[in-house]
Amino acid sequence: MNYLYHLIAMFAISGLLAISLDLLVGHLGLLILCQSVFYAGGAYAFALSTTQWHLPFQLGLLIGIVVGGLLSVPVALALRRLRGDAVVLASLAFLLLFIEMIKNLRTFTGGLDGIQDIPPMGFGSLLIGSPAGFAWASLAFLVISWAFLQRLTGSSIGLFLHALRDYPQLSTALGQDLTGMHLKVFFLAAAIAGLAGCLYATYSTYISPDVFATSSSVMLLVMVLLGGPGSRFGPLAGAMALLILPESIRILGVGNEAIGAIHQVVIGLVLVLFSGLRPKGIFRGYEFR
Amino acid sequence: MIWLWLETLKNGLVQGSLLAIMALAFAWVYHSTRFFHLAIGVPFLGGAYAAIFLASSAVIPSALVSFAAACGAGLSLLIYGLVYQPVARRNASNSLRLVASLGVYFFCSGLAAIAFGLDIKYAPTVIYDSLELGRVIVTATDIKYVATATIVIVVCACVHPRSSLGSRVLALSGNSSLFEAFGHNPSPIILAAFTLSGALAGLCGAYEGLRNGIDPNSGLAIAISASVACIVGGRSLLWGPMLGALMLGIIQAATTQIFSDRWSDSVPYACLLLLILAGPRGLLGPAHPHERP
Repeated sequence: MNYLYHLIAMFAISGLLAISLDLLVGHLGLLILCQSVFYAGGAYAFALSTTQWHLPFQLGLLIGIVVGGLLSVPVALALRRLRGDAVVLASLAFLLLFIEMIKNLRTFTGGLDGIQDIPPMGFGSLLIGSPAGFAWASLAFLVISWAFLQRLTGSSIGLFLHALRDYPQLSTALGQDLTGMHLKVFFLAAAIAGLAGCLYATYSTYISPDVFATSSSVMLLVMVLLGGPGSRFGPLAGAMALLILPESIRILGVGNEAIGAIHQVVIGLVLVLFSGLRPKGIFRGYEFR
Repeated sequence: MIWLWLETLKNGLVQGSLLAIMALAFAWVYHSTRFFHLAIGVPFLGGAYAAIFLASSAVIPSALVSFAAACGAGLSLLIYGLVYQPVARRNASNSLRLVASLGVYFFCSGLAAIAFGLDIKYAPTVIYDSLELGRVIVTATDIKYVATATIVIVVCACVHPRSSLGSRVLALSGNSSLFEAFGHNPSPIILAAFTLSGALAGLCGAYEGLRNGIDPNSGLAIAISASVACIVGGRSLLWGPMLGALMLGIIQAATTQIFSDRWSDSVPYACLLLLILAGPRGLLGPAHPHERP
């Protein structure tokens, strides 16, 4: 039963990351590879505030979300000026640089050793230490975030985002505040990724740079592309598919090292097929050109 | 102090000479197709693994390096034929091609991890002979590195101006629509560029594999460094990427000297970010108004 709760918890964390990235990929039309920057930012900020400064869980969570969101400001301002492959490459450079910083700023981040003994989830005197408690709590976070984003993208803001995505020149000509909207959307997406980082840190009680490596960011992009960018359930379906895949391979008795490699092969294959066939994903989302 | 900086310069030149070959490999594809071929890490890995596994048998070094280059060229052509050509036929934008190249890289490095394991593979015998020039120690491998890079560059410099391939690649890079409008077929030129690029990447991989060993995830970092050197070098197929690579190698060595070895890996990423953000539309913006971003 604990294994099922573990899967639910991991689905909730992956789902949060996927829906946050989908806001940028599916609704803003930017192929971004640096979502792990915000994820890692939230996780490290939470871990530092709860282990080094001994702040309570709620405050750590708030700091993690805000730090995740704030990290998006320089990224959003930089990417705002770019288009096409420059966006993909710049976001990859941001990610690689950030991971190198995490590895090298050992005083704060613990370097390659990471940060250990991160306290479990708890709200005041209510400690959610059991796998079931964490699974349902994280699922609640996912449902609330998903419902909020659905409402947001279904409103006039969503229409504005789609106009920005489909007719960037027209939106500029109509005098819309593009930079402001970019900053807000990036902040929201990054804050949700920061929340996912906090949840991951408190769940695993240990974080290291390996968790947020390039492959993790590419995997998030695959979740969104596979499910269908900009669709209602696509990112969640993508997250579920990529969660089930390694678990089904594990059932066949394959070792952890081989599972990682097979996972990487599948991710590569999905990216190649996506670029070549340009499908709209499982839930028929936005089609990139 | 002066010896310390001479040692740094030597390290930068050695690192930069390896990168120069890789940057040349990257430049040929980049200028003929105008997209970021990050999957160049695959022929690099292919060349490295081929060299390491052949090094255990009694194969003469020149045959070993040639085989690694042939492996690289073969892999490069496979990538072009199986992935890039179908993607290009569907008129995909450069961002989708970049995503495809990342996909190819992840697919192939995953296959390499399944086949050879995640740990670093080393060549069975490495020669550590060295000579001392003052207080600067130069190993036999360092000399081989610089000598190979010099030979490759000299050959490219001799062949390039006399062949029409280089000028055709640059013409294709300048304006692909006009190139086709004048009745030229870009396919054989792109094919030749991929072959040459793969051979150079395989050669580079062989040297890196024999010197430092190789693991399945080491292709992306060198592909990014090569792309930085290529952008720094501008619209050139020879001297630009080469100078860019040497500059990057020296900056990395200086970073190691001033700060620490840990920060030297960050240099190419920081340079790439600065280069992309440098222009109003970034250095990667379309060169011509009709070109798709």
